[in-house]
Amino acid sequence: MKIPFDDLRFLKLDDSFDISSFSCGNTEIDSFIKDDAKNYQKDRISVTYLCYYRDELVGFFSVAMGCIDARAVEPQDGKKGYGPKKYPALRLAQMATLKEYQGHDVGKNMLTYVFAIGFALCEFIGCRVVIVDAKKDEKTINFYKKYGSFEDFGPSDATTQSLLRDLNKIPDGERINTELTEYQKK
Amino acid sequence: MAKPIELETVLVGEHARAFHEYMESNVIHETPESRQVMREARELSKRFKFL
Repeated sequence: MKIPFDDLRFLKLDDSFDISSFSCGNTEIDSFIKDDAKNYQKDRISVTYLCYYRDELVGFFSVAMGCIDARAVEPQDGKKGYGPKKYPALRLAQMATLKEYQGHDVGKNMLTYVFAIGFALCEFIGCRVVIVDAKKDEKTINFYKKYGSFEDFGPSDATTQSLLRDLNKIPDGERINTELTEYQKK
Repeated sequence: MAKPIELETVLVGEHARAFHEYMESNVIHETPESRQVMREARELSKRFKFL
């Protein structure tokens, strides 16, 4: 069963939500949503969105603003050099689907929402890339590559692989309009 | 306990070179699925209001 995007509701986390029963099968991520997400939000470090299907919490994701600080690179072995450059980033800090709903497009639909936030930020304050530190397993990394065309970047550690998607790499004719829409002007 | 959220990523050496090359490149690697996700995301983004 594939759950269409329009059948899901996305709500911003606040104290009124009971998230104690959520389990995606990964204790670290479960611990984040239960113990950390509200504190990060109160500190305005990240915002967590809850994803509901038929009044059941089926997933969540947390996003934060970030920065990629790419240091200068000297020319070497015939390769050109680069000056230092920083890019504003939307960091997908956590994302998980309820165990029973994995494989039903909930993750794909949450990723769509994440990119929508990224494209909106592009218009309002500037945001060039979406980055995620993905769990280092084949299924997770393939998910991000398949649905977001993410690329490996930066150092990885034993448990995570950093992935990146440039929001400017959009096929011609599909670029976002830099003008505010009529809806946004209202 | 979950790993703390790191807001900044600093890239040096070959990681920085690979990143600079990726950002400079005009090549777009899009799967059919990611193309659809991007298209839907762009449409959805037009409905967001920040002000």
